[in-house]
Amino acid sequence: MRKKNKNIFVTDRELQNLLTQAGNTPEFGSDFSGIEERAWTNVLQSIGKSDIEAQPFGVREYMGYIFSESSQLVLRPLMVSVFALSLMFGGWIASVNASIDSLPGDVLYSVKLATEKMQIQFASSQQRAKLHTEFATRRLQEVTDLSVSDRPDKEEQVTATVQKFQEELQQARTELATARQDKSTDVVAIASAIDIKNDQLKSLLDQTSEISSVTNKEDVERAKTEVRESEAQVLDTLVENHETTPEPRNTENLQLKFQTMYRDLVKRSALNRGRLEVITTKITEASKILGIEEKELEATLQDLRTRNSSYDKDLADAQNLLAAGGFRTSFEKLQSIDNDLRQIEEALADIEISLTSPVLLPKDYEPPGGGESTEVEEKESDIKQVSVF
Amino acid sequence: MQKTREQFYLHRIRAFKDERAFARLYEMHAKSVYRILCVRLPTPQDAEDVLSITFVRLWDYLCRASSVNHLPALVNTIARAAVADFYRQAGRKTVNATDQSGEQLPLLSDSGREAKQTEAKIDLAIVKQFLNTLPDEMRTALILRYFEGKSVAQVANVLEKSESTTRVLLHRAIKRLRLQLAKKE
Repeated sequence: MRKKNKNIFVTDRELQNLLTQAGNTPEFGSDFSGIEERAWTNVLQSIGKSDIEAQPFGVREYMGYIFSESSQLVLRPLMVSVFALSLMFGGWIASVNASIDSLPGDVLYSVKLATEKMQIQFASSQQRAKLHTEFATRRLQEVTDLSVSDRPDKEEQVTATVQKFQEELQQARTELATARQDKSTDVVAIASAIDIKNDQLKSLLDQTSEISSVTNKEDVERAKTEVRESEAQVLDTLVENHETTPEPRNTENLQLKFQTMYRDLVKRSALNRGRLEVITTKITEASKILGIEEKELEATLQDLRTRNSSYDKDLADAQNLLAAGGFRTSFEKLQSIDNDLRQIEEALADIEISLTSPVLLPKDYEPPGGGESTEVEEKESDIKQVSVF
Repeated sequence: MQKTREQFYLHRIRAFKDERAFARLYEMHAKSVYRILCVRLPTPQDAEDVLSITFVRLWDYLCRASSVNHLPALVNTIARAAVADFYRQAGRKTVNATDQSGEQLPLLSDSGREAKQTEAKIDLAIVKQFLNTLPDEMRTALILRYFEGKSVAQVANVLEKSESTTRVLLHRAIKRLRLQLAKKE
């Protein structure tokens, strides 16, 4: 290793020795004993300490260190895992929350449906029935929202969503039928849950009916029929349950339900009476003005009036039957009245629509007595349009 | 083992601001730092002052730091910054051979006996001057290896390098020092 170069006057070894010797001189810090202590005193003063104990570290201190290190080893990966999981679930929850208000056709709508399917998968029979009715309510709310939106494809979307609504309600009914067949103890709870939702669905359908387009009227009517069938099934289940196991609570529930239905029918009958009176008055006025006798219409109105009045007695009968304990018969009577009243309501609605539509008359038509028409509009064509209302 | 002990002391300082643990760390590293400072600074007194400053700053840092993986490297970095501050504050220039002696020093000769005598007489200021022309890593490696008498493995540990890399570094440092001396001639 002894290298010699004529241009360089020292070998590697000599240089190494030179450095070692230099290291042994105080200029290069060989004498550190006094300096060490002085520098340390300065350090202590600077950090605000005067003196420290020279006591060695005990087992407790070492154990504390081992515990701290091992907990770090476990805690750190644990914290990372928790953080990663919270990010995953947080992201999922955020997406689900964001999808709650989505409508058919939206990007997040599939997330909403997937979440609902997942909820159904993990639910019990009773919860499933509740969830299906809850999701049916959501579908109906979507129908309402779609109806007032300005989407170009809203009519198709409404039809598809009503279809989904029907499916949800049918699944709820299937759950109820299964529970009934299995004679499950949850049958009353399931029926009650669906019953509560049915009321909500009916009021939502009334709203939707008002705002839906002509094209979607049929869809809404289908939905109404579905709800009525659901109501009938629930009622039948509750009555049957009462017949097999007559418990005071069930009796009370049925009585309450009867009263609600009864009041609704009385109210509807009274409303029909009022509508009939208005129509009759208007027709009489129009006959005087136009000189047209609407005998056929008057006969129809008379028939409707008679039918509408006949329910007073039927309603009283139903009440008496209930008092005697005949739940099934009394409810059947109410349902029959409900169907009849619906027919009357539909007939009245048709008459009202026909009366509010313009009547086409020849241009040369002159009303008797100088012609005091309620609303007569001159058109460019050779006919006059007249409206009774 | 030394590293584990070091980590234990660091934990004590971090968790409890334990001065006893800091005293142990001082005992372990102060001498090496002082050696380096002696080379970098004009007088041993300056080295002593900067040594205190270095360890005060180290204490402050360790009390706040969440973790320190390699303490020797940290101490060297703080010491280097303290030296820079020393020269900046005083408006001084780095030390050179003539600062202390004020005259040109005798050169090394290649004739055996004469060379040995010359070696003995050589002015330490020249060694200091030449050492200060080397890069930090080379200078630290030489100080630890020849002044402190540490093994190559220990030097490698302080520099956070492999043994072979450290060996090459030391060889190059010696070679460069030799060339400096030759130029001086």
